[in-house]
Order: sequence, then structure tokens, then C-alpha cells
Amino acid sequence: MHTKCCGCVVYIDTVKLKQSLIENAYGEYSFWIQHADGSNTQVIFIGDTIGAKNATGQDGYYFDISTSEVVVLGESVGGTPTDKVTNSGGIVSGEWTKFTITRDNSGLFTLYKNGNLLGSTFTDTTATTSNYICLSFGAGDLFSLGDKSGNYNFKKLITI
Amino acid sequence: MANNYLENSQFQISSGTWKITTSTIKGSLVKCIQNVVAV
Repeated sequence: MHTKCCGCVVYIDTVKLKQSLIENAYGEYSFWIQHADGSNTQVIFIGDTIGAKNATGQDGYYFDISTSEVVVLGESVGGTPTDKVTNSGGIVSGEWTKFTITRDNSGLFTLYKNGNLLGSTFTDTTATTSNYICLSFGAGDLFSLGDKSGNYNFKKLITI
Repeated sequence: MANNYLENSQFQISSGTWKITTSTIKGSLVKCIQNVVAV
């Protein structure tokens, strides 16, 4: 039995990615997620604070699947999140889905689901460095670390 | 704040209860991390 909760966080100190703090904030981020029914699933893929999109002082950008399976890309400034791109539908709880987010040198954000463009794009240049990548998951949410051949894992590429 | 490393990953726990588990993606066995609050 699972108890639904939000705000349970694991994180990567981006120093371990061996990229500069600026390089951490640009490029391509891809990951596989299995969203649990009724859960709120957040990936703060560019952040300066360990925590969720609304953590005190959080400056960065987030990916979010709401409890009603709405997919959002957004920006956090000082811990106040603002949704930039919202897409409803297409997410099935309990199924693995690959998401890819790109941010080019101009600050243009693009979201892909299973390789296909999802929704509109947006441009923002507020946060230009990143210290942490955080997963703020509810109970039952899964994040793939990959198979033995190195597939299906989290990837952060400097270039798009 | 907990500061435990999750096995074979670069993720560290900040809060909540997490476990390493396995699943299948497109026929491939994958290791994954799961947020679990067991009762």
C-alpha cells in the first residue's frame, strides 16, 4: 500500500556531471519516468536549491506531471513556480515514457515525449547556471537508472 | 537532512523514503529508483 505524498526529493549535485555550472543550464536532458496514478511528479532539471519547484529560493526550470496527468514546463523564481508550457492528455499512469527537454544557447526550451514534440516552446534567460537536478516524486513514481547496456538512463548532454 | 547515496547512482536522498527496484522498458530489465512511503 502506498501513501500519496509530494515533496519527497532526491537530487544530483551537478558537479558530478563534470560540466560547468553554465553548461549544466543548457543542452539536452532526457529521462524515463513512470508516473503513478494521482501523483505529482516533478523534475527540476535546472535548479540552485535542493528541493521541489516551490522550495524556498528555488531558481530554475522544472518539468511537472500533475495529479491529473497534465504535463508542464515552467520556471521557478525565488521558489515561485510559473507554468510556461502546459499539455494535457497523452500521459498514462503506470507506463514508462521518455521525456527530452532541450534548451539552446538562446534560452529556447523544447519538450519531447517519446521523441515527438509536445506542445509549444518558450524562451527564457533568467537562470543561466544550475547546481542541482532534483526529483520531487510522489509515492509510486519511478525514474529509470538504465539497463545493463546503458540504455534508458538519465542523460545530460551539453549540446543539442 | 538525510544524505544517503542511492545504490549505483549519483542521486542522493534529501527527503522521503526511496528504494532501488527493477522494471521493464521495451523488454529490457532496468534498474530504477522509486519513491515509496510504505504503510
